[in-house]
Amino acid sequence: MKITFPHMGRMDIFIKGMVKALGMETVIPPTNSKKALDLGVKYAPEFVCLPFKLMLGNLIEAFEKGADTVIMVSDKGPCRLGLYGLPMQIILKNLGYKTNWLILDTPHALYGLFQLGIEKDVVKYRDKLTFVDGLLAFHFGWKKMLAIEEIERLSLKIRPYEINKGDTTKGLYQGMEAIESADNLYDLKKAKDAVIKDLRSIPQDRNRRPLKIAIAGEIFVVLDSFANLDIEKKLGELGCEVDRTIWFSTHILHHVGLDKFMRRSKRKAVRAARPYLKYPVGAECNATVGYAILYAKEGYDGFIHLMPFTCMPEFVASGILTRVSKDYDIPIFTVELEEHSSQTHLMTRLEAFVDLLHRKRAKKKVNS
Amino acid sequence: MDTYLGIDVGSISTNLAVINEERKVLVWEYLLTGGKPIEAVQKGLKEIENKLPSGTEIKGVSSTGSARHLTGILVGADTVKSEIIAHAVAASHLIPEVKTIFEIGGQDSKIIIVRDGVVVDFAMNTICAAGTGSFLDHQAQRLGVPIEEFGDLALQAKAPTRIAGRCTVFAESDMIHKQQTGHVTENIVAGLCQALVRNYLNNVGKGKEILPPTVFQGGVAANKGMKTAFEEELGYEVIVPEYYHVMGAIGAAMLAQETIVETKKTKFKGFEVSEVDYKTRSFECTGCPNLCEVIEVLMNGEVISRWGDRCGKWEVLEK
Repeated sequence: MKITFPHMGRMDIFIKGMVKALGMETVIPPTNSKKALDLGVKYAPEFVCLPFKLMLGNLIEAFEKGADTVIMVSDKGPCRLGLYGLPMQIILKNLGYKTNWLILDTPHALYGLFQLGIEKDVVKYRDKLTFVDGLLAFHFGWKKMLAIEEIERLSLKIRPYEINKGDTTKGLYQGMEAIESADNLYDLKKAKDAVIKDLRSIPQDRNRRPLKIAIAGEIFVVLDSFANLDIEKKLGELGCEVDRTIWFSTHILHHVGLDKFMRRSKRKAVRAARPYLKYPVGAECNATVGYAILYAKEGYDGFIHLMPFTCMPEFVASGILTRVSKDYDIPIFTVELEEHSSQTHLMTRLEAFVDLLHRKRAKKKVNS
Repeated sequence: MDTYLGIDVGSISTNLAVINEERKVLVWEYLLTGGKPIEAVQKGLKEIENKLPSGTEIKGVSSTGSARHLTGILVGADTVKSEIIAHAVAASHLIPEVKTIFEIGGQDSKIIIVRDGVVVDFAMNTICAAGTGSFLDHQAQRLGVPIEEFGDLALQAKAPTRIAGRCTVFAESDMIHKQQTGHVTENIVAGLCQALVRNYLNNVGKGKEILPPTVFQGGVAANKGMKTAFEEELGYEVIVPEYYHVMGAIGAAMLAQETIVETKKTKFKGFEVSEVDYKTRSFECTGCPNLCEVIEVLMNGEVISRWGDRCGKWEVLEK
């Protein structure tokens, strides 16, 4: 049995770390690319969202490489992505691939993963897979994930200050590779510390006063830099300090109810959105609206809302955000992403948005 | 005399404008891009050089429009800004109290909301081209009406035909249907203008607070039928400025002036660039499955700039 999974941001780091520690065999689909997208677009229904198309493309590429079992992180609720497992199974079956599926829509579905490992007799290195093995594997994958997120966060803070354009991105990519190749907790820590040191030593101009922009919206397009056309890098290089509201770790922590004491938790965002939205719309809709309010209150200069074209919950959010923008005096820019989205078109609008924020800030300064 | 040059290279037209210190337009040039931005810019520069009175010095230059980065490298622009800001700057200088700007060009249309001289919101057409100059151009051809006479013909309409304008393709079939059932051309032409205005206000202008004074600019503003259709829909007069078709270039020139106040010295390479041999070429990078299309700009056979790669591997030139 060879396990595979569709990409979502750097979730591959977590699953890879975990199955590596369990001794299972995995086939990692090539990272999201034009090829994956083309495959997805070819076989997916046209009006389905961008995440579905990319995921389908990933799976086809993985099956071509010999995978036969799919693990898919999913959700419950009105977001269509939560229900995507089934249509994907049908499409892949019609294409002639033989597939096993494990859909992780609740935390205890993880138990199924271990069950599957035992039943299918895939555990090669050990005679018996114990509960402790499972925990240790989970812990290692989780730590790896956190390390990646930590350097990503750091890169967002450093990029607007970098003197030579591109330094941070280069350092980040190299750092991700170093962390990916770590085999145990000791190596991981060593790799992480080295990357952080490297990133900090990038030549910077600390006299700059970068604009502060928060990014929120549908989870897949927020997490995946291919899907969002590298919006974080683009904004950083335009001189903006970006804060991303959703991370893989915060998403998981929210689902198991452990984000109670976190500063900018989804829980708090959903609560902040109450004056506008009393009922849960589903997926990230309520949180998107709430985050706009929270960040406006923190004094952020702007807010960027990412959504896949035809995404229902985020479409609802985009409507409400026009009101929030007025009420809290924060410019909000909604980006709809699909396979036809063009880099240049996005760049034009981002440049204009950043200019708008600069002029707004300059005017505020004059008035005060 | 000290002057500033703005260059706006769009999909359909390439516009250049030169302003003086008082922001008065001295000369301007409007030519078709024809899919060859480099040649259009070089030709435009030559024309401008010929038109400028002797003794004028270009103190700053700025580029805008969809080919702004390429143009910026060609001429040595002091600042490269998106056309949204350029249009807003020009409009709010000419009509200081402006609150809404409609800009309809060949391939795209935008709405810009301005309050107290500062852009507070904007939108561009993202999905569909129904609502741009190309749409009108295409339908005019189909009706056999020269695009220059389109506006005047629309004004003669007694009872504009109602045409479904949500989608370019459906609008066309609806228009043909109306033609077949005997509607006269001027009514159809006026109906098309109304359909485009409705489409624009519903899509590009969706959720935006549209207040007077409203400025209407871009190539389509030449069409009197469009101006009238906007006025009927909004219920107040819409202003079409004198240089409606080169507002982007004028705005860019003003942005160049603003930049020079800070940087003092221009990076302008001079009008000689119109003689230099510039070329672009592209290749597909096979370093990863992204297969990025990397564009290279060559000056006299030497690579001076690259872009198009996601990872930044090619962007930085080895010196």
